[in-house]
Amino acid sequence: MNFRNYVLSCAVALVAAACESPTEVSIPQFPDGGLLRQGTALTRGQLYLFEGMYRVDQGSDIFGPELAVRTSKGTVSLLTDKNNGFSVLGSACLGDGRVVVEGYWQYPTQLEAGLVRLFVDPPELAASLCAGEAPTPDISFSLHGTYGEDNDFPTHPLSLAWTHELKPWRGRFFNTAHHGACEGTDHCGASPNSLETLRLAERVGSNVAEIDVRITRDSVPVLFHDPGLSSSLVRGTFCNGAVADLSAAELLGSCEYLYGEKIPTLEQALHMLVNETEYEGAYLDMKVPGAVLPSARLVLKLNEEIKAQNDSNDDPSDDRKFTAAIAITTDAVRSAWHDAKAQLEKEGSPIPPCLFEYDPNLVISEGCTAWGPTWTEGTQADSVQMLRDQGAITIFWTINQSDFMKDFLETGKPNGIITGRASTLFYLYQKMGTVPPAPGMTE
Amino acid sequence: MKHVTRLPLAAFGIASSLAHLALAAPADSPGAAPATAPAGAPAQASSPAAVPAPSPPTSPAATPTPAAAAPTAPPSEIAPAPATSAPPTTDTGAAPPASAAPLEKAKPSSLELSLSFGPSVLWGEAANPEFDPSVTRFGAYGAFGIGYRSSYFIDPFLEVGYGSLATGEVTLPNDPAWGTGGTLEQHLGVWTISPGLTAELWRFRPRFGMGLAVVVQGYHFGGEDHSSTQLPLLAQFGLGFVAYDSPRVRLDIEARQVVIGGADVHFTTIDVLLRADAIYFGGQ
Repeated sequence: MNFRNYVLSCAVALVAAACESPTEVSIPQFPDGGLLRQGTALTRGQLYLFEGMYRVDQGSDIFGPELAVRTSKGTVSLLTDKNNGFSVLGSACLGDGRVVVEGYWQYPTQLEAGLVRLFVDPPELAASLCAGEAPTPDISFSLHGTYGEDNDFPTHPLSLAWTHELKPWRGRFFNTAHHGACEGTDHCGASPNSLETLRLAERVGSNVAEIDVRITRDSVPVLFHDPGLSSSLVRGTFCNGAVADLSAAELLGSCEYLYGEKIPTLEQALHMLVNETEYEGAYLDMKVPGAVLPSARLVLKLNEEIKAQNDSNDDPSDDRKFTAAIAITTDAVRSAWHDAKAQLEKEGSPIPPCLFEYDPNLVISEGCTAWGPTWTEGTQADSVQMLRDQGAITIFWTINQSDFMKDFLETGKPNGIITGRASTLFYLYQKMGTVPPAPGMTE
Repeated sequence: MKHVTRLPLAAFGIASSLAHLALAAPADSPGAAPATAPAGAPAQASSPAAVPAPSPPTSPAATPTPAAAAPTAPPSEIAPAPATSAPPTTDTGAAPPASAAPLEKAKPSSLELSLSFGPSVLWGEAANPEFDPSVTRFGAYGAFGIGYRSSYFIDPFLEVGYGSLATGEVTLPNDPAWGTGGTLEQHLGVWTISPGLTAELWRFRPRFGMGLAVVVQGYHFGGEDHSSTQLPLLAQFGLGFVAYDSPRVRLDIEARQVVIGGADVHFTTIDVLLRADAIYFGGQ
């Protein structure tokens, strides 16, 4: 190749490299809504039947030899550490007395996904569900059906046998979604920090949401990770500049996340988490000091709404329990937190919960109830226990590798881990985790 | 021969010099001697001025010695006549070795100023279609450039441009979380500063440049004007056609694509590019 052609080829290659391909996502769906459309959805109370550990008798090439199943509102989730896989399923009682559980499976870090259709066995259990009862599982309970690949109709046999109950995890172990269900490079079909990914994160194993909070020019806290409106996160013809330079209206009118989601305000996100999901808390990662006071006010407002809602409940067991904590991430944020506390005390307002990220010795003195260390400092089992003895919890950030998860679960014994691989963490916690005491409790 | 002015054109001369080195000496550059004799070329004695030119092939006694067997001569002493050069008209004539080769007219070199202007079209989608955004994607882009029009095929340039690329309008709903609704007016402009290279291939001029953009986003909402900026990298590539070519002035019609990946701004222009020599360095 002569120099002239070489130069021209380089130019073409550089321009081609600058072109970005759209994010590829394939989330299979049954045509016409599948069997779920023909049946009656199971109630939330009935779904607890499905929770447990299962042996995979057929279909282990996709799900591994064993998997964990958890449920949330309207969803049955199969969770495995094999390729961080998960399956998000709906359930319904059919007219013929069968109970179908169907949806899709996916490996989020790959482009592999497919359909799943399972039926409850034995038939007596299905009949019990269709009669509106909420039976408890035993080892006779199993799910039989098929799975497929891509949008192909599922034909490969899949058979799951319930073996035992899950370890306690609600209110004990905080599988914390790293700004959503998946990392930005994954193929979940939802953008980090969007409401859609927070909904999905619960379905793939999370019970706490870690979200990134920035502030707009007109002091509206919004969920956004980076300082700038990078094309790696957002799109829109008129979406440019820094988040802090735009007003909330300008941001709303000009930008959307990569999968078309709106950039949510913190207020919208907190309301969604409380009212639409069963999340137990939110870890509010303060990206800028200016976000601290407005976020603290929103948390207080939310707490008042939750209290009013709970006060109106006749049955205290229906009370909504949700804790949003302001995460103190840097010295600048810590200083802003001090100012915010002073301001709130001056106004006679309570102080919202806080989480201190970088120094375990300051957690208690800062009045925080949680510590959020980075995993790179090691498992720090002594500090975890020291804080636990004082009633504080520890949530490490951010572990996506299963080997590190195992190490931290076995050695550090934390109360939670932030991850973008919630299905793997859920499964591994069930396999090898130590059940922590409830927050505020000591062993 | 015209006098060639040597100016310290450091910024513009670097790429040209690199091209010069990489190309060694192009065949159409008569001032440069080839590093080795071309295959099949007549062997040359160590002192070409004192030795008659090789005899034509029709004379068996004068069959040229293969080049590989010829005594090595310094490059400057090797006659540049290629194997296909015309033979001397007589058996004994001592043809001048250099002037016998057919000469192509060399491209003169100059410091060139350029001005381009044309319509632009912006690619991409507006956000949040449910708010019924209205976008005008057609705008205009103009640029001023300075370049070194070298004797070789690659010409470096530096260009500064501005484009008013798009305007839009979106109706925002009233939302407790976002605030009072209303009409948000938007404008997208971009400043570009880009060094790069062009090349002349017959009458076509491919262009490639990489540089910096200043994306300027303007808003009008609730009676308030505001703008924000972003500083991403840009790449531009284009293809021009030299529609008019006089010794000192040239006029191109050019299609150009500007890709500002970091801001997700991609636009295309069809512009008229006027180029004129500011300093003429001459040429053969």
